[in-house]
Amino acid sequence: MHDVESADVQLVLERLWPCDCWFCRLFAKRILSHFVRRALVYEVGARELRASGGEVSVSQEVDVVKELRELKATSSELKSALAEIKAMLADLTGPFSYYKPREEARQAQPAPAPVAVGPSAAAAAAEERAEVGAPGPEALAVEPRPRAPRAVEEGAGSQAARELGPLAGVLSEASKVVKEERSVLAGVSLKQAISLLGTVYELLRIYPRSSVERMLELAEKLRVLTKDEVAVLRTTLDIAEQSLREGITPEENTMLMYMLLKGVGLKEESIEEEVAKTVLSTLSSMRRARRASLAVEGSGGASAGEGRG
Amino acid sequence: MALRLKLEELKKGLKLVFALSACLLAGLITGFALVCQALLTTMPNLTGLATVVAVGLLVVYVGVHALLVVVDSAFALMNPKYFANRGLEACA
Repeated sequence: MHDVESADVQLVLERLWPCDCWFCRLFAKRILSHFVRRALVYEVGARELRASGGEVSVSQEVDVVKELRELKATSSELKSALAEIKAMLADLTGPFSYYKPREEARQAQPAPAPVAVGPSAAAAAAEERAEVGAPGPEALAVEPRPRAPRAVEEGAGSQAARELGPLAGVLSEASKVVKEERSVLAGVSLKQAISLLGTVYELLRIYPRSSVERMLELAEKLRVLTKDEVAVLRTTLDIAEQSLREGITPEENTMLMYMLLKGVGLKEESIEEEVAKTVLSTLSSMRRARRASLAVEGSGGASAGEGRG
Repeated sequence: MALRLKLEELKKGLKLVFALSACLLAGLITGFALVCQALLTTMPNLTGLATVVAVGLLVVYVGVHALLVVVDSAFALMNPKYFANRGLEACA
């Protein structure tokens, strides 16, 4: 190592100060050799880093290391930006991308009356829907919500906004808006699912399942309901039927759904509201039942006292 | 292989060589003058004169080398392509 270094120093000295007289050897080269060693520090350090000896020069290696670091930083930035763009694309291509609120959708596209309008009219409406390129509003309202990589979105959004300038800023703003919109939609659909479960539960208490299913088939044939909607309704029917068999109330189902969603990490204000309502109604019914039982006990005690008297 | 170096360090070395050789040259001349004066004062004869001539020749010999070093280093410092012409390339 030292031999190599001294050889390099000698080489540089010969090139730098070609005179080889006694004075230069004694005076100039002695001084210059010290500075040449200091100038060669870079080369020694880089040579130690070199894995295999080649004819690559020192400064090139240093440049390559720098460039590699820069490339790594740039690639991480690009990855984060890409993740954000993917999340946005997932949002845009998702089933809720063409979502319209139920009222607006009805105004824009009058729904056919289920009995008065024949299958041809319903088919025309369905065709019209297909032409627009959007699924039916009911289907959208009850379709399960696709999950997106939230953490990636948030982390990537903030980082890209810092490093990629105005484009990243626009992207992160757009993703925020999309996220808010999705949370609102999820709240609506889950709330509707809970109320649907309650309704189906009440229906199954009164009517057998077969009659409800016949109605569903009719609605499907009339194309009032899409296949997805019918599938959702059948699933709800299954849940309600099982609950009825097992003696689980709709309130308990709501609580169960709330707990499950909370476990997954989904928090929706509308569902919490629903749950709060359920808890309150349950508590009030329990209080009513207790009062009734107390009243019964009181009246029973009074009648017993009268009897004794 | 083209050697790449920190040229600032080499320039510092050349500057030091220039300054020290200039100081040496000045010291030689000053010293020679003082020595001459002393020798001629103490030995105002042929021996003294011969000694002065001998010292003078020695001073001239060393002084010429020093002067060459001063001139070369000065030219090297003034020439911006000095290092490039000798295959010494600057590193980034």
